[in-house]
Amino acid sequence: MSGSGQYEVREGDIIAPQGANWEGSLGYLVRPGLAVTNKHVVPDVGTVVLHKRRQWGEGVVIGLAIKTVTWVKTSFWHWLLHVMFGKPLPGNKVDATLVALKENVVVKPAFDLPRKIVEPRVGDKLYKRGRTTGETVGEIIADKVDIWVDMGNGVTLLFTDVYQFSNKTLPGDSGGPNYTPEGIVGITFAGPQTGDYGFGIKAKNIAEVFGLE
Amino acid sequence: MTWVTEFVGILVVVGALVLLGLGKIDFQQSISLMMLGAGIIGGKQLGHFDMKLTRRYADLYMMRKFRRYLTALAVTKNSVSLYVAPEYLESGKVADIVKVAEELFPGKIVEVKRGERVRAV
Repeated sequence: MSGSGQYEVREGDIIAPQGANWEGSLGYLVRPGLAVTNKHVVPDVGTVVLHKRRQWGEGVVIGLAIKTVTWVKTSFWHWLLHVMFGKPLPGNKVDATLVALKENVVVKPAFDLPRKIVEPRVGDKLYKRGRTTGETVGEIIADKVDIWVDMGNGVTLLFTDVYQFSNKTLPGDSGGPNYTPEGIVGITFAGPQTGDYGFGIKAKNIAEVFGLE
Repeated sequence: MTWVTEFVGILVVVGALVLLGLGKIDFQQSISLMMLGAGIIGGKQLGHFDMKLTRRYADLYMMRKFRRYLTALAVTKNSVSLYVAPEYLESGKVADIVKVAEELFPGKIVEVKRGERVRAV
């Protein structure tokens, strides 16, 4: 807690939905009072979001989930086009939830880098901050990737138009911000068991899906 | 060879009209023949549309069609990387997948890489 009743948090800090037995990371500040994280970290609208909760203990309430995406489901029309013309069934582009922060919450940037949204480019340096691995620096390996992701509970979803980076990525890093020297590229959301690299959801797609442009 | 199907289709339609004019077939038979001609042309056009759609969504098509084998697929300007699940890397299925990728991503280099199962973190 800082002076004048303000509560300071930083992009990439530990967050958790109230009552859940998992933790994730706070993403970047979309606009004053509004932050983003993953849907699989904060799945439902109306969920109270806690800061710095450890070992399922108490945390500080910092906000409330106000908007989230719906996983893409295949409709009758998708199937019809699929059967008739072979149009592939769709995939998910975004795994994200918007969190409205309490008035006294001040979010500090994860890195001292430009805050505009930029597209990831292969070879760009990638700065990542998350609950488990902390601050890491790596490189963008691929900028247009489709991937099957195990979401837990036997659910596997296809994600499309995500990017891959070389930074170490472990459970709990999800939702944390990804920067390049030019600006914000997205948030961490998936990785292999080894943790040797990770995948991110593009900030550009998050802005598009939530109509933030 | 490109227009052979269309030529045959038109020939059937024109033939139906000629035969109708000569009184060799009745109106109903001529309609049936003309529909056959239209069907031949339409069928080919639908095939084109199908291929166009498949190419437009080639990445999704590959990921769904080879769901068991591919863990990820990355597309760059010049190449397509197929991340094959480790248990299938040595299998004959890889050659089939590469063949389809070469067809759907013409002009791009197709690379096969070792994939890993990925989970939400």
